[in-house]
Amino acid sequence: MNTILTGVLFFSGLALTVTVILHIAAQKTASGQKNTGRPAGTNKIRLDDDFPDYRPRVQNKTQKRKKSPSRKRFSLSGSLHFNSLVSEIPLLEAGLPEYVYIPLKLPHINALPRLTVKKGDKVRAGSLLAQNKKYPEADIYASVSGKITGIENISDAFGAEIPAVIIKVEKDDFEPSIDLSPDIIREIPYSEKEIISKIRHSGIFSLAGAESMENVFTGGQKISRLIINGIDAEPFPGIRENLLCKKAEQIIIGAKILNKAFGIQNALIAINRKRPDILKLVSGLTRRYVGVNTRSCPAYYPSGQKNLLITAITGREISAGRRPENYGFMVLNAEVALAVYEAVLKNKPLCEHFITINKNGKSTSFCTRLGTPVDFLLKKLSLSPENGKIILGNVLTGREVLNSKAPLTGQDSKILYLVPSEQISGPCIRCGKCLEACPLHLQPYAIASALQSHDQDRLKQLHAADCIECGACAFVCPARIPLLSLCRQSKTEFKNN
Amino acid sequence: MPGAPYIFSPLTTRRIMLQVIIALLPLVAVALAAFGLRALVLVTTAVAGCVTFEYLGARFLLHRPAAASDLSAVVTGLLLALWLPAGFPLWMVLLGCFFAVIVVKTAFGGIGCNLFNPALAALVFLFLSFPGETSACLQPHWFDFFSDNAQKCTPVLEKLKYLSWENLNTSPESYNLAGLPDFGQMLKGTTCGNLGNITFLAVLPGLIWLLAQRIISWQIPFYYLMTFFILVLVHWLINGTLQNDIFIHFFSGSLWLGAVFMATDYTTSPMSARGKIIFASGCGILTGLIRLYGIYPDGVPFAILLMNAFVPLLDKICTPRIYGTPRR
Repeated sequence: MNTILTGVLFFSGLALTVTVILHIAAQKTASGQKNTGRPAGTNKIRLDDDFPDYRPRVQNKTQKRKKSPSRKRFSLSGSLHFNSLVSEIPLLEAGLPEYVYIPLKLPHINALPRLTVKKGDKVRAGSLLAQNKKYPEADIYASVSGKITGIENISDAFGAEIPAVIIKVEKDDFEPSIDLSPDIIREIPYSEKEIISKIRHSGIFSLAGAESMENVFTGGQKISRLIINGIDAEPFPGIRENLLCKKAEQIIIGAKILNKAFGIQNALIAINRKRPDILKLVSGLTRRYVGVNTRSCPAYYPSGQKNLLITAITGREISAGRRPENYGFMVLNAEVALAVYEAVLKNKPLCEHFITINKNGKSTSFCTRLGTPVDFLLKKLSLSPENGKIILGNVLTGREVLNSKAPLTGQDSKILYLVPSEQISGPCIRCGKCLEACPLHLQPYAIASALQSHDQDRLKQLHAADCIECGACAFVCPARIPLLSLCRQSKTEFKNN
Repeated sequence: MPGAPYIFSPLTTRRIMLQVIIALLPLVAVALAAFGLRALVLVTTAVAGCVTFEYLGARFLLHRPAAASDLSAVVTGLLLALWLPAGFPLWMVLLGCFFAVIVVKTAFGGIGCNLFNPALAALVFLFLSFPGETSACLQPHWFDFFSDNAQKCTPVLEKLKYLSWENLNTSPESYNLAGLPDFGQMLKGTTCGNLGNITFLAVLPGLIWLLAQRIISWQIPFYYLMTFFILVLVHWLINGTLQNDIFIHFFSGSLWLGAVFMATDYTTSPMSARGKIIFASGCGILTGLIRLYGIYPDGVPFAILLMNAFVPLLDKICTPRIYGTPRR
């Protein structure tokens, strides 16, 4: 009995040892090839820090061979996977509120526009309210038709004062130049210059993520790859996957228009790997459009983040402090592609955007006019802000709304209504769950403790400023340490020093 | 508490400790079945002692009474009891509880701040202070709850240490000659040992449970057991005697208990995957070296405590590459 058992153990042990030796040997040969198989100096090209701007690589054989050693890829596993990622949500028309409030400055756009209307004027949806002749990106358009009842400072959702135009809604009509027919226009009869000018004069820069186009159009940055982000990998679903189901063709045409504007031919629509239905639908449609393709991407939180999406698709990493445009990548959300389609082919400036409201895990999407107050949408679902908290943004990163009369801007896409559960934070038990959850492989627990001791050098060493504030660490922390707010604080601490 | 996030993973500190307690239940059940009333008294005393000291420490030393509600003291008490032999004097158990909770844990700042595993440190403290009592094991008297004629016996590994039969080979006759159990006896748990290590089978449900609930990562148990196995195997291949017999070393003593419950303690093990691998491999090698060359029969507590001391260093040097930084 014992002899047999010892024999079995012996052989299994032998097998283990052999496996380990082979593994080490394989690693050694791989790393040996890495060092010897390349021409001297090419290692440097792979370092993102020594690579100020994207340059197309020299296409010779040695370079091509080492281009994608899959083993070297950044591990994107270990981040959060939510079951609720896959679900259908209704998309409704929100209708017209009584008043809309349109802020006079776009976030992320530095140029300021000058008012072209005054109090008492009648405006139509899609007409100019404020204009900057040099930088049309900063232009402000009316989202409804009505009478301007005031141009004054209002308080935004978080209590800050912003100047805004207040319009009393009177009619449901648009500027006559806007094509309101539901037909899909498939031809693009414009040149590159015309397209760029149309996009610049459309007000779509108020949408989240669209501001990255500004540098390309004004600064002449070269783009080599366009990625349309169609992934909603967040705990509660958003609008993108829904839009891809319902307006896939418009988004594809939008991508094609953007292709033409950037002078490229390789737009990719990133689609949630857990939604094969969308992939089938969209890739069926893209077959008719040259230069637009689909790619199914892993859906974990936060894979919808620009930099991580690029890494998932191309394997390239974006260094901290740099933008995807520096590397020749342009990532735009699906709703931006849709807005581009409407702006270029339907002459429609950005008047509407999509808001998803979530209550107790049940989501409803609305197509609403820009500047609609938060409580107008809440009333639609008969929610009252008194009983619970209203959160603007993602459930893991969003902020609580202090003023529910404040208008929604293009930056907002999610409203959350919840009764927060009381959480008591305890001491760190060093479980390492935040390390596993961090998509950037940072060490949130160490950042938190370095912040508490105000250790600037340690914070720098830990790359605290690289944090993308996704909130994954705070979500998983069993001790309920507010790691997200601590990481945010450490970033501001950096700025102050 | 300020701001986002507004939802959380269901896992809290308390829940983690609860899962560990669930994973320990099979071991406690086996101990109760094998040692009856003695085990019950020992386990209750250890748990009650640890919880009491935890509360007192949190109330009067840390001024944070809520700190005692996370069930970690129950885990410490259970683990301490499982490493002690049945019939261990109760005042010594209480002394061990005091050492574990107050000296090793609370004095360093409570949960998460201790450098060494409380239960293991207390065990080693008891082991060094009362060597006679800690090694006075009893023969398991299965399903005889009120048995009063339990026989004293010598644990398997201790027997190995006393053997100087270098020239004995691993034939069944030698086992009988040395009074060592065979594999079947080890599975059945009729061998001599502490509450928690009479059969390694009792550890397996807990291991599977903890892995399935993602409480522990697979790296530590796997690399611990693997490096230990390889070390003993190599030793045995070079000079195969009964003293370095693989199967006795691998399945007896508290190797499995240590690899699954002690080395995986969050606070006293590294956080990154690479750190865990180095830590567990170190534990495995040290355990093997102590068992083969040292004077202590079961090297597990010493090996893990020694590696505990390396954890801050491992946490500092074994960090994964941060996204967007140059490849190393």
